[in-house]
Amino acid sequence: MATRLPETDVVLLGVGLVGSILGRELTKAGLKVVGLERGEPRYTVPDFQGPAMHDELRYSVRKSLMVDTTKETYTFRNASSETALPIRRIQGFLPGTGLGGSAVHWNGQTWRFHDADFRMRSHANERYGREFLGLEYQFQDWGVTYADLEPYYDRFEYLLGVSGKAGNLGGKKIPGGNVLEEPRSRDYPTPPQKEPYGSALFRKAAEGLGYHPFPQPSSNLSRPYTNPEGQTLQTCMFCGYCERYGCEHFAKSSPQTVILPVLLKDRNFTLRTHCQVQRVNLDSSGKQATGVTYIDAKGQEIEQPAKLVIVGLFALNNVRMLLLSKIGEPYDPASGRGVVGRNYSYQTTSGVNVFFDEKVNINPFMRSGACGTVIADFVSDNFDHAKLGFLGGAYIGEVMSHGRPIEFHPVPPGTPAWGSEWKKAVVRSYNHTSVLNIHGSSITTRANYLDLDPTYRDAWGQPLLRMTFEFPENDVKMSAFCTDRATDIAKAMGGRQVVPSPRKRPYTTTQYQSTHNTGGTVMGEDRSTSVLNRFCQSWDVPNVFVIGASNFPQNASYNPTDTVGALAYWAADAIVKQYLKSPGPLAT
Amino acid sequence: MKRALFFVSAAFGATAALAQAPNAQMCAGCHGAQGEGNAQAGGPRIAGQPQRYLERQLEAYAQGKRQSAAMAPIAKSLPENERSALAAHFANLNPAHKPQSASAGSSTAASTRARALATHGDEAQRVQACQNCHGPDGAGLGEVNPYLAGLDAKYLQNALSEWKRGARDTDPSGQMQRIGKSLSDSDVQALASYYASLPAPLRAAADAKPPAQAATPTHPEAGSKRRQGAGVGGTEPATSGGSQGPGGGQGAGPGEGASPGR
Repeated sequence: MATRLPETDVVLLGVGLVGSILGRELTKAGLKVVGLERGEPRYTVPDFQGPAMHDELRYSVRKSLMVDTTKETYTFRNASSETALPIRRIQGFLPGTGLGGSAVHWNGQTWRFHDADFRMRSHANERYGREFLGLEYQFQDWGVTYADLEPYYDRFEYLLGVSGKAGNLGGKKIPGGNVLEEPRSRDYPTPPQKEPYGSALFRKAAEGLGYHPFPQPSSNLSRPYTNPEGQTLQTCMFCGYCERYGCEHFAKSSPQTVILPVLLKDRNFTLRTHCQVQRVNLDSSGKQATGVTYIDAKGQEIEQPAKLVIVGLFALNNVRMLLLSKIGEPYDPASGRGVVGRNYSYQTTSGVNVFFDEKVNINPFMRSGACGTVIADFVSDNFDHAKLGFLGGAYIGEVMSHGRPIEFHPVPPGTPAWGSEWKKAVVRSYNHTSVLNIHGSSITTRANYLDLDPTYRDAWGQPLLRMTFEFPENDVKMSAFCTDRATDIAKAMGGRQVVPSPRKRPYTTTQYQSTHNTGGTVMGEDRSTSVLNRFCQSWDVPNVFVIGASNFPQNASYNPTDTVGALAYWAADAIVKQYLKSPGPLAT
Repeated sequence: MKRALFFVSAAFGATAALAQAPNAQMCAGCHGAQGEGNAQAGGPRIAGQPQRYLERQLEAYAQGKRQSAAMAPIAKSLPENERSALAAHFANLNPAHKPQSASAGSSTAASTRARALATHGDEAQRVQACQNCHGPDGAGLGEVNPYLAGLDAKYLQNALSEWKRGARDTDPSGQMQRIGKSLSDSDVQALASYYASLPAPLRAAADAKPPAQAATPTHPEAGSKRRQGAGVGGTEPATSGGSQGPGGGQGAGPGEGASPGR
């Protein structure tokens, strides 16, 4: 029998990036908010301090900041014809846990999507015709445009203090910035980070080929910055411990550094950690949420009634929560009916290694998670796809994030995998190798989806989420094309050997590629193909809002965090300005 | 690596360096003949500080980024090569050191507070642990972050006060300026007293270990059976950038895409 607590105005599922922003916006609107976090409370001091924070074995290999897979995980298979098995060790992607969520251990790459990404179906129809790709591709429009989200991108970036250089200020192109980006209303809050040597070699090579290199927008800051919440961030020290780590220097934007200190002081806000939410509860009509049920640290079942429920978990867990709560119709790939779990996509990444002579010192250890130089010439629909037979693209850049000793030892092909020859090759290559990153889009198909696993359950007895995914043909073609373009640049960088590795099948979760799992609770304007309306509100249960990369109808070339943050402010604005005045559906 | 070479023998290294730094006698009045420091004269211990750090300080005094009536004219008078020679000379000295006992005025509470700042920092003040950059026990870290352990308490207090009032401009990141401003006067005093009470690091011992890259490639290394990296098998260079993954970034380890079957 659950202990029933007094009703609150709002309950947040997850206190990460989304939870912190919604918590702040809704307490400011005068609401009482309870934030439920499954992991531990943690703060820059004392939890992220050195030298313990630079324990690569603990954080990178054993993944101390990630979900505990002895308690819950995901099952995975490449196709519906296979039997999915649980992911026992987190490797392919990194779902964080604990206060601040995955925005604690992220790298800080902070990108805006293109308008063509938000209007992917209508844009492709206009430019290439309806029959351009096959019927198995289910890419679609988001229901929002770039212009809708621009003010919210702006707000989020000024919260984070992003370091970058605008290339398009209100339509005016600015050389040295990303001249191919959508117009921004103002420049970045802070100037770009310093350019590492390998990135400079990339810039010169890319310029020589007629491309438009620019510094990657970074949430590891180039200089001190005080955000509109009054929180001051510090300068990044280029220590090379960003992704998989917390920042000891208050230099990486995370909920802890940009917003939590204000939220936690607010009397309208209550944080409860070690709370494992089991489900969102619905009334007998199934059309109204009454709150949530969770298991606390003592193992007690608690019911927290609430008028409004905000689901802001890691993308995959947003999908699972709706399935466990029976909100929305689950997707069935056989019939194509249903929406929850539909349009799961990922990120199609590949790389090119450039091995230099020993006189070229790359110093890979002197990096931040998001410093480096990139081009957007092959992003999204910035180039003509008419003769290419695929949609989407990738940014290409020299954006190495670290040279950490356990993880980073590039060696040329043909080198033995162990023993003294391998060690000689590591010594020869370690400081003389650049890695180019090709960060590509991921299109949605009928066959890739998420549902509840019929066999495996978590420590609380709830079914795990089952992932069914293989790289679509479209994305394999895209990766081959974009990796070729990167190889051209790599060759122009002056290395003695260039080794490209375009993405190929099969997809495996046993090797890190990207944490960017997207889709499954897609937003849109047509309820037969989306779970949420354009305000991130459930079509079926209007007092439930879901925010995260799970809302993406397909994934774009760029990293998702900036768009997730923009959606958080966009949804918060809709709740405060529209929903609270008249609770009910915000779209029909 | 350079420093490791100097340490073939401390005595030999010192003599050799002194020969290259004829001006060292000039420093001895305040910093001691062996760079051991002279509290009365207000000269901190400089022996065993990283060469690059010492060079940068001389440069800063010469350029006015760091202020001292005594040091400015000296630094200005020295050409760059002599500054380097002096820095190398003192970086390689290793005289005995006797830590200062915690000063009369310092309390247990102050020392607890100082230790907390040194090893953990202060969340409310947004100050990170000193040891992130100055090393565990204030033993220094890398080429530009000096050791603090065993320096004179008055010198340390003065140095922190300079950061606090913006009299120093030697940290281009602005971190030390901001940390100084965030510390209260009592924090400054407590930290100075705390680090002064620790033994100065033994540079020779620390530096005797050659850096990884100095290892000869033919070294019949120990631990060759140890698995290097996470689950690397076959010839696939999983670690050649595989986990070089920008939050999804770089993910795709070059190479790993080309290794079907994994």
